[in-house]
Amino acid sequence: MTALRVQGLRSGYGKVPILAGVDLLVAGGEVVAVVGPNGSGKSTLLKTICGLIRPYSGQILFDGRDMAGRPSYHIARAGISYVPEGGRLFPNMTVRENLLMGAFATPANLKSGLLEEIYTLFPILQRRGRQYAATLSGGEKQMLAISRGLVSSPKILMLDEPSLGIAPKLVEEIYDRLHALKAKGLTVLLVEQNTNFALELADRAYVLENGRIVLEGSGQDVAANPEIKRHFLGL
Amino acid sequence: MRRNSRGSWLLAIALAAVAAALPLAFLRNQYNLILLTTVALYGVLTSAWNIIGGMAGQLDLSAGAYLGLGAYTTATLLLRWNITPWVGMFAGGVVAMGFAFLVGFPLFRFRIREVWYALSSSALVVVLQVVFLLWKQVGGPMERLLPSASFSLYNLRFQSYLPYYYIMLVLLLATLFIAYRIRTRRLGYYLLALGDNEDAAEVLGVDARGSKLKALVIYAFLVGITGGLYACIYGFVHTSFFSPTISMEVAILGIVGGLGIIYGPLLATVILVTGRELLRAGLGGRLQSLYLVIYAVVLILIALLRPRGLASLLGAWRKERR
Repeated sequence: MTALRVQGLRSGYGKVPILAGVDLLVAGGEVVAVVGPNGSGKSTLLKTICGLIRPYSGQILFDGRDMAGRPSYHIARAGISYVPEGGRLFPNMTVRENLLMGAFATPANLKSGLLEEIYTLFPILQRRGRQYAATLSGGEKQMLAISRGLVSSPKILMLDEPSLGIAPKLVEEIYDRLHALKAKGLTVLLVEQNTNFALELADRAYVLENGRIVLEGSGQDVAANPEIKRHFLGL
Repeated sequence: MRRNSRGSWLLAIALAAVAAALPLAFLRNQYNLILLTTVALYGVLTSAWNIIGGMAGQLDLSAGAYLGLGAYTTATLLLRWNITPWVGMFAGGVVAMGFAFLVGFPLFRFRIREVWYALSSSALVVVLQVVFLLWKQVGGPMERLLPSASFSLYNLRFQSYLPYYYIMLVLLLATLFIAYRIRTRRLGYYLLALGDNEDAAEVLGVDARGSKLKALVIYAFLVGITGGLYACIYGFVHTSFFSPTISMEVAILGIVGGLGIIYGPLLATVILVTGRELLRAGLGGRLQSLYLVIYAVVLILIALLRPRGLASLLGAWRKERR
């Protein structure tokens, strides 16, 4: 079962092209990682899929419907949840309000028990519930951002650099929870510079360079590819 | 949390009762009555502004536009067709609402925000002022007087300010209630999220354009109704009602009070408008305009010491108590 199929996607900022025709596939229940050097277009890819950037051309097929060029709130309501780089929380809302926001904006509404499930995953969020989101640490912010993406019960969760600017110990913790979510069957499209963690988590991976996919394979294959190691990943 | 909210309701009812009893202390003094009415009027404007400015985070400077539209609609209906202001002020609200829709639709469609939204909305006030100056049938350079009467319920004209104060108080309570309903429902969360971070809200599924348009239209409706009452209180309409000064003042009081907090703008209005008017009356004879200097200094001090607004003072106090 295919959840998301991206075909010939070209996009960029204004007249500056970033993606030069990207093909990508995410099957239901699969975790797919997109890795590559800085400036290769990883974030642009996610932003285009979730509608923050309008593509020049190409298709974004989700559940058989083309999402390309639709407003981002449509895409979100269709079940694509995007966790932006750095979390992009609502600093003047409390932690709990941030969480509820994730469910409020979609027709699905909050499934009963989901909040408890998230609190089991990230207990700190329950303890910090009444605090303003602005007062959280970097790692806590990321946990909240991921959770906010989850409360709408999305069909696919897209994560943009979940390890960026976070203490290594917390990165480990976050990836540990992502493994748990994967075991529950969550479909994930993940973009990362921290390739070690990403490739270990991913079922399949794509390597993006200068706006094109230059390699695809299973997570281990990509991690083991000597070319990749040397050129992009700095392993 | 339940008990807390019941406490807040009781406090709100108690304060409303105090507000209702207040004029009894000044029955003989019309100056104090008009002061109270002015505070209530500004309270409506700033509390309504809180919906678009505080919650949705749009620095709106167009209160004067909707105030003027409401006033002129009410006056024109009364003068031309003898339609009572009781109907007229709601018609004024609807006209303001329709106008807000026409303006807001393209503004939000093309994602005009921040400074650009502020400038566009403030230009609106000036443009309307000129339009009504040139529109001889309705406006024109002269004041249009409403029929004067010592007590006419139909024309909504009274000799005393007392009835106006109570009407304004009812409108104020209604406005606060609407703001409260919005704040605690889905739309309120949408608006707060948009005010905080528009992109992040949109990728969560918030329809930014639609939500902001709703907020703007509700705000315009409330300000339009106030405009109708404003015309009746002063007994005339004039193009100076399309006032950039009032528009700015409403926004300033809204910000100083505390963005998005229901009672914030009202708190700022009660303290600052009362203070300013008393200063004006007290110092007016000796040092004209000195009150404006003092007023400005106080605003700057609040902005420096309480960047989250006057309401944060109460917030801090409540947290310590808990």
